[in-house]
Amino acid sequence: MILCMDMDAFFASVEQASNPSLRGKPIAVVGAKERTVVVTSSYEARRYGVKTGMSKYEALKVCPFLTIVNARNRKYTYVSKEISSFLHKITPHVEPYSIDESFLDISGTGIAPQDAAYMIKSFVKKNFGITCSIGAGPNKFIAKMASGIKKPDGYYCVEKDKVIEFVDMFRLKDFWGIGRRLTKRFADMGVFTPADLRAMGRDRLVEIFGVNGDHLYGLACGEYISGVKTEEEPMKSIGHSLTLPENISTREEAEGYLLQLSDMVSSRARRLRYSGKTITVTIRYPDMGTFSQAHTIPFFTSATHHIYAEALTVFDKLWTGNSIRLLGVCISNLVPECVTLYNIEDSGKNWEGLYSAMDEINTKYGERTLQFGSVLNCRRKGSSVISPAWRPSGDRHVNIIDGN
Amino acid sequence: MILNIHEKIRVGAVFDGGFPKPVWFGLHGEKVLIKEVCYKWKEREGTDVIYKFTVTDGFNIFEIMFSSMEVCWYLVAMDEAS
Repeated sequence: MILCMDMDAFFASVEQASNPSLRGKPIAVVGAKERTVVVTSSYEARRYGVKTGMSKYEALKVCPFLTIVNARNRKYTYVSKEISSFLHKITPHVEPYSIDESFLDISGTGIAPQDAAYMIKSFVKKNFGITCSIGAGPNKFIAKMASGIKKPDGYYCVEKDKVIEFVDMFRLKDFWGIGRRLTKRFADMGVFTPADLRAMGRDRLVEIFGVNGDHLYGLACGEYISGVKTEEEPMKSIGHSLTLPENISTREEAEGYLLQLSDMVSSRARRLRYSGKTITVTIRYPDMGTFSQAHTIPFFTSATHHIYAEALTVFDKLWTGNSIRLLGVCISNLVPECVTLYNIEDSGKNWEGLYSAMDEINTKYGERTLQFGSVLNCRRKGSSVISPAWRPSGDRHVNIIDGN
Repeated sequence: MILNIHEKIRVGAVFDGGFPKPVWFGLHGEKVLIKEVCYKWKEREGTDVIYKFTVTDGFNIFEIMFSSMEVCWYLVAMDEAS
């Protein structure tokens, strides 16, 4: 049996649990001070129509007495890590899916799903004063869909022989893994429900969607092949992006952020012992148009100065001259167990010693204690956004700064 | 309204393994008795482990922290009851 544990309004619930004056009130957690969008809101706020992704101003319009709280990412990542450690006491087969969601395979543990759910809910409530909802089912898809049935603080179990009946409770647009574009495509074909999809038949779906057709037909039948993944998949890329506190419009300003991003990428690559040779730069303009360009260099590197030099070249080709809202740098084409900090052009320079000193100081005194001087010109330093790829441990664990 | 403060404070706390348990702290020469520890969490800053708490005296809510490397307590912020 698979369980899916989903925290209820996670960040908002943690804030309400930490501050009694917020309990029972409509609150919205926003990211950093500037450019703030609602990251999550309390159930009280949701009743007024406050939604994730709304700007602070839109949220205050629908709920004028809304309390806005700045995200305290370190508090949330701590709670997430503690809950993840507890889940590992129930079973080693735990897949953290995001900061507030995990799958557990409790087959072979001898623990009934309702007992496991009770243990988890009690732990979360007792230690963190918050609630979670748990879905149980024969596979991840059913467990995930079941976790949303009785939110908040719910538990819902779907037995194997009730799977078709269960999936037929949903429209395809509400299926986990079916996005807006696919929903539209189905709608254009007159397909709205799992029964419609089943009626098309597996072969027809494969004909239209290729391998994915098989997967989609499986979903309509409540089947899901992929099990709980306990092993971390190898990293394919290491990247960081920053939404800038205000739009920038000069190359000089962009240089500081590109250096900062290159150093964030490099220090993670050095720590995880990866080198890569493809550098991608992403630019988002104020109209939200987002453009990326990659370039592959002829050598592997983990060094800030190589990544930065290449990022600048790519940036110059990509940038239209318009003001910039977001910048991102990513390295891919990775090889593991390989830290490369210099090449033939660097001879005579002790880059290795420099990076080693930087890493030692930053490990001891905290990230960004020692950084490149030009980075000091940046108004935003460090990422204050918890990426969907964030995990409580392993290679995808990244220290996040608080949003205020 | 939340006031960010970040000043060193004197705290009476019980240390018996794991999280320290703050019991009182000094604020403007007065002893504030902690009625309830509302929340506690840990953060890392390099090798320093920082224990953070939100506490209440039954009226105001305070965020305090203990830096295990500095062996110092700080009043981080205060949310005054309106």
